[in-house]
Amino acid sequence: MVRLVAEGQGGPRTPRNPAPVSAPGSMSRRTDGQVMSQMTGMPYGENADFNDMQSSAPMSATNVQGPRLKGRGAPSAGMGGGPSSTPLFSETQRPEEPVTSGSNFGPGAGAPEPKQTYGQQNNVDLENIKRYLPDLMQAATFSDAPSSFKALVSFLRNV
Amino acid sequence: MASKQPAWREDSFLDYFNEAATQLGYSQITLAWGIASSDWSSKEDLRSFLKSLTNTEVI
Repeated sequence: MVRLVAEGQGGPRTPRNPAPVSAPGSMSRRTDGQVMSQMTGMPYGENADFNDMQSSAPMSATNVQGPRLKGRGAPSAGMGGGPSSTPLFSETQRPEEPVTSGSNFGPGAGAPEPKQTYGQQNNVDLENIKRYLPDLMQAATFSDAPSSFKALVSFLRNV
Repeated sequence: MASKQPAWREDSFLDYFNEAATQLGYSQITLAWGIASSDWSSKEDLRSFLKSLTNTEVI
């Protein structure tokens, strides 16, 4: 006779190792042994942080705290929904900031200044290379130095 | 008595820099410097890379 220990007896069930296979349909039960434990023994204030992180990953057998939306708009577990996250359809937390802030059109602050272009960066790099010009000129006088290298150094001198 | 002039060294950084700048063109000297700074196992290895880099065909 098969005894279903998970039905109607409450409390977490820690599976044997290896974990048992779940039965189908209404007799199914968790096989991962996932139990939310309350962290203790950490320095002051860190226990709550850890427990908050745990609760942000909801488990099917527990009631997850925090704001949740009902129906089709409800975010999945992967989208957050824990006590510290802002729901997707909530009111803005920056009411004074225009929605176009950060773009080059509309009200609000514009986009940040563009970074250096390739040409500008190339000029900076070229100046850095020219700092080695005395050594390069010295190397051009080495015996058996290829003529292509001498031409290269000559070009660098005139850049 | 004059001191002996140092000899050009094959497979040195300058050798690789010269090779890269020659193949890529003088407009790409900074790129050539960067490529020469990489850890090439041989000059043939570098040449093979430069060949694949420059051997582009517009269809």
